[in-house]
Amino acid sequence: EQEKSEEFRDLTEEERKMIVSTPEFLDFVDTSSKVVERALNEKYDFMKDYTLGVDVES
Amino acid sequence: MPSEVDDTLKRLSNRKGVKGVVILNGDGQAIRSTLDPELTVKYGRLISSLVQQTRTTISTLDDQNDLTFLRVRTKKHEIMIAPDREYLLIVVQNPAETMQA
Repeated sequence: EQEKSEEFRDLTEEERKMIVSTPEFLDFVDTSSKVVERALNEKYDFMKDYTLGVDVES
Repeated sequence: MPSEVDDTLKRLSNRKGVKGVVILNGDGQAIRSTLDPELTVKYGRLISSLVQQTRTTISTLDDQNDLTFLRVRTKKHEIMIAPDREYLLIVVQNPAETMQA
């Protein structure tokens, strides 16, 4: 258990800052957010009317 | 520069139906998250292991192939995962809300 929490320790603010300032990270955020936004823009829900036995609150 | 990242995250998380946005490094550690800390750690650990597993499955089926995007539809929401070599973007959304015209 100790080992596990060690393995998944949070990044420090310093480490986060360092990652966020690299060109690789900025590139990644730029590209991946565009892909996700495109997916979010889809208006057609392929699961609509076929979601069995689920009460979807809307 | 870093504020550009935060603007992008804010834009994504403010969209209708979006429940949360998390960016992880390759070890499942959160670099940015709009979820509460406890949930962020859970997502980090579990989603990065799901991605690892999926990646292995795909490249074992065909060693020329690689995972590019992962969408998981559930009763309650949809989890969209955009992975690259180093980082992962996770967006949790409720499709019933996002797809209202």
